[in-house]
Amino acid sequence: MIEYLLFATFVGLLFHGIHRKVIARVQGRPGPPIWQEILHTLKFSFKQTWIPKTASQALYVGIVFVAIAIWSGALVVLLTGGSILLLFGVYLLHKIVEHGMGLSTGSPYTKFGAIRSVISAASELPLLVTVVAIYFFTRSLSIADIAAYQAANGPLLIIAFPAAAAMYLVILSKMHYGPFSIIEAKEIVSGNLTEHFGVWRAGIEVAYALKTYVLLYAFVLIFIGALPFWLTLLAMLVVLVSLSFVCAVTPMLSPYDTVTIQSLATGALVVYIIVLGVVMG
Amino acid sequence: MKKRTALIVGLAAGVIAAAAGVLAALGFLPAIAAELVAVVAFPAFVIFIALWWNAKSGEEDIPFIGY
Repeated sequence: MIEYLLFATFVGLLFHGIHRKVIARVQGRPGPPIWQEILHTLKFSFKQTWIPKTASQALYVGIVFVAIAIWSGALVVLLTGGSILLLFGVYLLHKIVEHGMGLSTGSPYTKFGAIRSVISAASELPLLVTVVAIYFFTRSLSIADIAAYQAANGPLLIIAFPAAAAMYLVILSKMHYGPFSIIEAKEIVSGNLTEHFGVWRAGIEVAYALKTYVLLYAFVLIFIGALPFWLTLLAMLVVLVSLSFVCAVTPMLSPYDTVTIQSLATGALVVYIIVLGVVMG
Repeated sequence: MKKRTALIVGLAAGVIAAAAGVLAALGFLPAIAAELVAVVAFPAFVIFIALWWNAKSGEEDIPFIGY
């Protein structure tokens, strides 16, 4: 398992590099090499490391361990064909990680990031509604059952397109440099990441790489189905590049617009579920 | 924390996770138990190995700190 976690970390960091490259090319810039985020993480791991005087030491350090652990656990859930409710739980825990990371340092910039993390809790609503929509079709929340359903009936991406669009929005809201990346916006320096530097930041980069890998993998598994390994990686790459295009051409929204759009998406999906309920009983 | 301690903890976490995987493959441990061990050990492996190679060995030049 640890070898798969290392592989997922490496691929996740590579995906972050590809994300930056695609954004740069769309915007007419050369951009960094695609392995930049791997070098970035290694660079942080060699930088001078200490704990700020104003920080809550246990929370400041512990949150890095928790961040890596929860996304490692999410990867296990995916690989073992567990319940998507567990993935939803990990997503909620990640929100607590973002919040705790911001509050643990004592810096006003990170606290702003933490508060924005709470504001953007609306991003969980489309995920919850997606889970309900999937259940309407598959009558199960187990990833293994969902994959079996798709093998028999075709991909949910076509059958339940609004649910796939909502999940896409959820992943978009967690991408760097995206329209919903308000918690790490530059007007608050780097938001909740500002005061985590050196080894701590390298650990967070590892956690975020795992998060990107897990979310893309989950999207492919839940809405396209169980594919051969290399085809799954290719499908994840295609989804990532499409997300990068959206990030490249969309300015960062204000916090309130972020909540409004995510709430509207949730509302639209609730209507879809009501219609499904009426049509499918 | 001493550099040597960070290395020992990091390596121990890595070895425990790898050993759990091997034991599960041989059928001596349930697969889910090995996966739980990996989930708990992986963060310690990453952080402590990074703390190890980050730590000074105590023989560096004294940096120039200005007049």
